[in-house]
Amino acid sequence: MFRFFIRRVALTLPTFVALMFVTFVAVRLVPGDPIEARTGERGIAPERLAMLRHELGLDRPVWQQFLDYANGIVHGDFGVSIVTKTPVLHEFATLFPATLELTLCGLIFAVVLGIPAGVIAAVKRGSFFDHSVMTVALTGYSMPIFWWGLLLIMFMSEYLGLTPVSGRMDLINYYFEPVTGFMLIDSLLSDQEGAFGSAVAHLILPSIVLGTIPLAVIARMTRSSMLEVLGEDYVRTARAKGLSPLRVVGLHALRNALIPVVTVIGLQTGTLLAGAVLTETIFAWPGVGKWLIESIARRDYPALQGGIMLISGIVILVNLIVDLTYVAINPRIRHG
Amino acid sequence: MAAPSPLLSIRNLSVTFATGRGPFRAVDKVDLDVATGELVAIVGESGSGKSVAMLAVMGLLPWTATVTADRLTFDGKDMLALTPRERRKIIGRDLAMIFQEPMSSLNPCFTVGFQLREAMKAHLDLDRTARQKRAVELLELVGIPEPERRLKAFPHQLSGGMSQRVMIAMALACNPKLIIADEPTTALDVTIQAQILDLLLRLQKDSGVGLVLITHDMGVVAETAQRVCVHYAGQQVEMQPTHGLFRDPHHPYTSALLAALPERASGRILPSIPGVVPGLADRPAGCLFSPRCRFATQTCRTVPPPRAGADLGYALCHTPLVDGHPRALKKLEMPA
Repeated sequence: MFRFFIRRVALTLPTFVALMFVTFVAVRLVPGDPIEARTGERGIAPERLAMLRHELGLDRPVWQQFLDYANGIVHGDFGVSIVTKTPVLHEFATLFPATLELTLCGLIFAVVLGIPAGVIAAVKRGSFFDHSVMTVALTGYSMPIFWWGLLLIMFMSEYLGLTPVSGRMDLINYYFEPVTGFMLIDSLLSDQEGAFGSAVAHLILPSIVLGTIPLAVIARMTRSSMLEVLGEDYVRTARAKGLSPLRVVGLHALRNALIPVVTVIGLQTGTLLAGAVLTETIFAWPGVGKWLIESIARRDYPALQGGIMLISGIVILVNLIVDLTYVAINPRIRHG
Repeated sequence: MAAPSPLLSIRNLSVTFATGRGPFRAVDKVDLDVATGELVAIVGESGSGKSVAMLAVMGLLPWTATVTADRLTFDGKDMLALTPRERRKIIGRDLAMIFQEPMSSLNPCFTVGFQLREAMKAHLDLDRTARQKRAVELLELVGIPEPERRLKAFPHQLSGGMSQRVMIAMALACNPKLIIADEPTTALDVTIQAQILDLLLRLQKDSGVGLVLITHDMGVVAETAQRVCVHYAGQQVEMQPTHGLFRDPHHPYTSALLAALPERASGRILPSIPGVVPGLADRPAGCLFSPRCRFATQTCRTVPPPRAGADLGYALCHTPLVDGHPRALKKLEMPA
């Protein structure tokens, strides 16, 4: 188990090195640089441009800039944002709880609906329910996130007036200092009546939008995995014991069927965080995604590099955790 | 088949599967009676419907199967009229089954102990410690050393023979009245086969439980069973007490099966039955065995055979054999 863990962690190192390189290059491939982005159409005197570039170290050879950046990251220093002049790590830490809250809610939405839908579709294969679930899942999977988000806002917020259009909190009626950064928890801690309800209401639409693709993937994966497992001999053994269908399906079959589903859920965290960038932009959600989009517009190299590295790191970490969960579910790996 | 009050009584059991190419009759009008403590063997080639017939008794066939019977009673209860809930109270408790593939019949995600105690939890009124105690006893009974340690093991840590011992222990857990063993030794190493069979027969003798042994090993049948049913292509072609069947088989198929036994072969070449079991598409119009039968006449090829009486082993044949010769033919050949 310990050796498995060490080996698994060691495998992530080359990924990080490649990531460092790719983010560095990709960020610089976008035309323009931070100074041009800030001066915009006004233009800037060439000598002043040269001076500012020198200040930011942008006039040095690219390989030197890369080594500086790599050296910083190895020492845990993600640089300072060119625009806000605050350390990237600090900005990220301030914004990340909002993204995490949204991502978790989206994931919970996807898992809580996706797994039962997949299981029922598999048990009642060929039924109307099965066909409906699979059609809806395919539609959800194929839908562009931003379009789906706008549709939901138009219908739920504009037409029905049920949910707020954007943001994390009704700031006209409630205000409190962030404690944990999670609006659901902070609103409860604030003791302001109605604040928690407002936080929940603000979370509903973004979570649905963000969770739709993972929901589709999880439902389809659960269904196919379940179909395979339901034909296994041990499921027949369980039925031969006279166990209830709920126990046969929900315990004997599902436990085995979940193994590939957990892997898929892990892989979906990447999709979720990428989806969060779009979702946050649509719903004006003050998280890491929206911050990254703004950083692209400002060509804020350190913020972009650092932000992408940190998000990638989180995706890698989640997949590491998933692999360890996998071991917990599947005894054949644990003792293998 | 005049057992006083048979534990299991089957008349005209048929099972039809809905397939892509139309209905397929896997079991065709099969009869069977098993008395308490009796050992009945069902023999036949692969695909002769032996397992399917017994799975129908257990109610374990997939939803594509249609089961019909004039009578299907176990322990006085009509198994076809039971609700699923009522059936689940019987199977696993009074009626247990052991399967062909021990390695895949145990759920890889749960310990041996969990799976063993589970059946007791469903059917017996035992508390946790009593179940654990009984699980240890059961493993001792089936000859597994270090039972306490083995209960904590996962199925992949056991060998095939060990797994089948666990399956036998599981079948015995609730003191069943009848055990159906579906080729319990086929998937095992030859050296282990005899051990497992001996164990099964010893336990059957000791506990007085009824046993239906599905096999294609005539040698095993000769040594163990009191009565034998021979199946061919879903039909029951003969049923006789074991010594009668081996002394004087009445159906040409039984006769050919016995002739193919190595210990009965007289020449240097082991006799075999030419051809294969007919599939869904190439079913003969008359007797299903006629294409492979060396006694087949024109009548055999066109008219389905009648069932003979008890004196001729209920043989499904136009010309049942007596002392190795077709009886009806003999009559015809003898000049008046």
